[in-house]
Amino acid sequence: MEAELALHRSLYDAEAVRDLLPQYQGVATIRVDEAEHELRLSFTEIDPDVAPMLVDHFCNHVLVETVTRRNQSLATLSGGAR
Amino acid sequence: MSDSSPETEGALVDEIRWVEDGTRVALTLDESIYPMDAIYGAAYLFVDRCYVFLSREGDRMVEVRLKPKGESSSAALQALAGELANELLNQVLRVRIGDSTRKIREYYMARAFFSTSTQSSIDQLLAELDQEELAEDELEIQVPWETGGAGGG
Repeated sequence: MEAELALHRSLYDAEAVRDLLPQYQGVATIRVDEAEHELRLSFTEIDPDVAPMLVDHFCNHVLVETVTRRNQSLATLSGGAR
Repeated sequence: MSDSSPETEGALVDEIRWVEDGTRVALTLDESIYPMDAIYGAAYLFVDRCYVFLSREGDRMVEVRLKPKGESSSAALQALAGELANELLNQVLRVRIGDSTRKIREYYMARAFFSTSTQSSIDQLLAELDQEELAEDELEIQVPWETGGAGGG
């Protein structure tokens, strides 16, 4: 089973995407192509048990990681006062 | 959005347009009205109940797509869109208050970190309190009513 996903770089942290990939090694093979505005992800060899929600779950995971990292960087910039 | 189900469109307010297809609902937001911090803040609060996906729909336009993790109906999706719109408003307010009070927060942080030890010591604070208590009370507000002769009954 295969799936494709495009994440806009202005909305999702590219580093967060890269850092999360190892966590999904057991359930799918994920390849990332970094275009100018998008990260294009290809999911292959998806574990059938998680196939229906894998991409949706991955999106949530990246979003949470993006928001967390953004808040941390803003807190650092404002001296922890945020 | 899926092509198999009929889509329903609407507008919660002029600035927020939504479309739902029976399994998910998508809201298109203008970043000049809803800053990214507010969009992230609102979206974050829905990840426990929904699968959330953000996409760029144009310059300064962001689409937030919510797909409930459980059962979904047209009414539930429209309610979800309304909830997200309310939360966006909360988050915009939070961002604005954060921006408008940033200077004063930074000032207090700087004071806390860079004041000298004698200024912030407990002894210093106690001495200030003692001085305030011993200061002359010109209006005699601190005179107990029993001895003040105010005739309070």
